[in-house]
Amino acid sequence: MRTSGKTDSRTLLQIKLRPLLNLLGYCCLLIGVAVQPAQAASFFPVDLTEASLQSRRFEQVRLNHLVSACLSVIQDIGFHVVETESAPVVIVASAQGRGFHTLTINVQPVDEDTGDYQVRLVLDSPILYPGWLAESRASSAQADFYQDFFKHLNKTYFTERAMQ
Amino acid sequence: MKLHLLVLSLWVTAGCSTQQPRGPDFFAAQDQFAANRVIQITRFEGVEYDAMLGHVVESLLDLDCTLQETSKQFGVISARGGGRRYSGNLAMAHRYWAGCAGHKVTVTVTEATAGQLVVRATFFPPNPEADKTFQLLIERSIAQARAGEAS
Repeated sequence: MRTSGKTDSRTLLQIKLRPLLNLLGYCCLLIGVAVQPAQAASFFPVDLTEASLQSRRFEQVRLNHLVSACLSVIQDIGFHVVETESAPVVIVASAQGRGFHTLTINVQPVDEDTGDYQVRLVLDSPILYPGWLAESRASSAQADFYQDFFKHLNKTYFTERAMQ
Repeated sequence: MKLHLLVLSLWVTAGCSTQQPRGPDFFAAQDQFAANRVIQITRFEGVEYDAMLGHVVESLLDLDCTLQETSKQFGVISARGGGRRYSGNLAMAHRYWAGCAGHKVTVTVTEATAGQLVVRATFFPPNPEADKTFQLLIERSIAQARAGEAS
């Protein structure tokens, strides 16, 4: 009798639990699909979205002033200049935050007569996040960095010019 | 009730584990940028641009640094601290702060107005003592050059 009572209660528990377990199973399945790992990185086709995030055009500016503003921002955010080149204008800087970071800045003339230049940044970050979310999270952090850098560069350029 | 708690705790754990950790935010302290600049910047008048670059190099060498990059066009000089550390009597004997070992420094020289140059040195890791000493060394280098010219 006792055994039968136990069996009944187990069955009852299983009946009660089943929908909940089913729900949990569906949830896991949905999460699994939503966070499906990205495809393996490939060189082709080139991702132009990233290039546009990394680039900003500055109009009617002087090259030396623009480079000076870039250097100011680099110093503000604690990077250390490792290498510079004047033609083409390239600045390489590095920083040690959570990991080692290298920032490459390239200033290209669009129209030198009108003072139009394009600044492109590339932040080489280590993989900060473990597991399958690494790629998407790292690229999101980089996109934030580029946006902040250009915002600050714009502000610095005009502040420095106003002070002269 | 227990089951509800179990489901809730599982849900919270799942939520926490999938929360996106932030990457290194280099702009987190942007409120401090202006204040830092004031500390790191020194203005000099009556010194030629080329001569100022020379004074910067001289001061970095005084700090026992190894030059890494120099650009006359952009007015950038970067260096790394040497391997030597002064301690004990040697530190006392050494007149200036000489703890540049392990530090990295980037110095920029820009022309603010006609005849006025702005020198900004940023040390990594940041060090207020290094900022002061560097400024002191530059002033000393300029003073020595002027004394040499006068004699």
